[in-house]
Amino acid sequence: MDGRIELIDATKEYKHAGSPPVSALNCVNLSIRQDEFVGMVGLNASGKTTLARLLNGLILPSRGKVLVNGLDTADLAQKKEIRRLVGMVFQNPDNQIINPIVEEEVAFAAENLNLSPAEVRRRVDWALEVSGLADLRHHAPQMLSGGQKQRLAVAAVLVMQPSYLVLDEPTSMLDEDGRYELIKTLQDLNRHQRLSIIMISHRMEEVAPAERIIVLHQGTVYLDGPPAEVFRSPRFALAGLKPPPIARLTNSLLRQGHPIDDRIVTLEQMVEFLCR
Amino acid sequence: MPVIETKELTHIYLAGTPYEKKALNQVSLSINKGELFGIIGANGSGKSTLIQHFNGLLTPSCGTVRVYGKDTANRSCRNELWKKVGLMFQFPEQQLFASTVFDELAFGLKNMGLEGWEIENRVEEALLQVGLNPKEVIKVPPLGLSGGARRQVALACILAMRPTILVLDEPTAGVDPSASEHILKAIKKMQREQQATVVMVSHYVNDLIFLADKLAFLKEGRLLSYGDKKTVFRDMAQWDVNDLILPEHLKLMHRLAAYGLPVNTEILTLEEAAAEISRVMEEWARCER
Repeated sequence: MDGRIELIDATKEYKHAGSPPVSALNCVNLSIRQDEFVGMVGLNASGKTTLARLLNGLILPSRGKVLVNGLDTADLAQKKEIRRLVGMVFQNPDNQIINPIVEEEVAFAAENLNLSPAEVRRRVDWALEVSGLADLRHHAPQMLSGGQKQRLAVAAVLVMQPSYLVLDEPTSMLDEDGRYELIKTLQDLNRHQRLSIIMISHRMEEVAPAERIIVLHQGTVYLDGPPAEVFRSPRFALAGLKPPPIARLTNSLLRQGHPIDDRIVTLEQMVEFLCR
Repeated sequence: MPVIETKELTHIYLAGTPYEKKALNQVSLSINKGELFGIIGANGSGKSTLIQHFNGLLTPSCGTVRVYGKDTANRSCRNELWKKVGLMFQFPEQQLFASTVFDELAFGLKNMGLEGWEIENRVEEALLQVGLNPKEVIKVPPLGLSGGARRQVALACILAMRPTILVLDEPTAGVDPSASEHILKAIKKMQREQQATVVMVSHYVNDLIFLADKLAFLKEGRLLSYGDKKTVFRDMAQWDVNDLILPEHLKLMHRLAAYGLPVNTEILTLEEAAAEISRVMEEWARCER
């Protein structure tokens, strides 16, 4: 089995009654490996959310194909396996939390996979632990803060042990602690469990630690590469985006002729460089 | 002259149940006419609870809230209060319901008793204010717009009613940078040109550093500092603020100072941060020579 998600000439059009179809994605070709940490950025209406939803067959391409580990998302017989392989976390956790108790919410998906009670329990414990919710397992989700709710949404997906985790602006409701913990959790999952993370964000400092950044612009892949290269590209500004503060600092210091590593884009990298 | 005044405001959710939670603890502050007042705090600090007291959606468990001198607990003032204080919730685009952007904006105006051309004028004006082109969006269903544009429509709905106090709960959370810029511009313009009082809650400190005239810092339901920006930032340094979204260049300077690098941490802009690091690196280069 091929461990990657592939988009082949994927086009998605939305049709509204009485008006011509609007093309949200246009002939996109992409390949995302099973162990990659990918940041996806672009203005609103650039096609990010459409692309995310294509990845697990929530929507199907109007033309072209989406393959998950070789399985076609248009093949109804594979839908269940594809949905298990590609977990989704959305912007607003309130829209995806349905159970009255935290641990029930996490157990829900595992129970639907027809696992033994002992295995369900093991996975729930693990998912709660890595999401930092072990102490809140008996609480009611509506009593949690926004950040805790989002971590719950992540835990509820992790329990299915997906190969890919797609997150559509998962931090827009989180405070700094919650954001830091979530990103750190995602990095650990990526490194230690070989879980692929595909994260959409408007905040460049959040995607800067990724190994690859994809910039969408007007429904096409406009830039695709390592963070430092993407941030420095003139096309980045043309896509209406601004590099993260640390990348701008690095550029400013380079322009002044300081001997600084041009790959520095995150706070940690800068601190390490200056304080080593 | 204060237009909003809270005295020892305490709010307890679900009092008397096992879920009882004290969200606000003896908060006393006053907000003057024409001010842009920023409220900073992490999730769970009581920000949203506080501002929902400003138009009487919530009333205090203890203490008082006065808006234009009138106690918000007094039910007979409610109607007047709701007209004067426009409140925009978090993720307001989720409340959009009408079949076109025009109907969405007109809904509140019709309820105010306005008619015909007055409604049309106000709709057009409000859309322009938030950076949308009325001709392009007026007949579009709000749900056919992108997330950022929906937020702009939601803000326009409130601006169209011309409140004299505008209360905004995380107005830029989760929208793209360009929509966020339009929204912040509209807010600042409203304050400047119409002398509106604006209260804005955010955990993006960046949004408030340049925009706000005064700041309040809430943590776990307590008001730990309030007043001019410098005072509040100075006071904030005494507390654990890891749970706030500080701009990265400010965080960097704090981290570098903690490592013992001789950098000045009293800076606000990225340029100032670059100048500080540049100065330190030049000194290093001199020492090596």
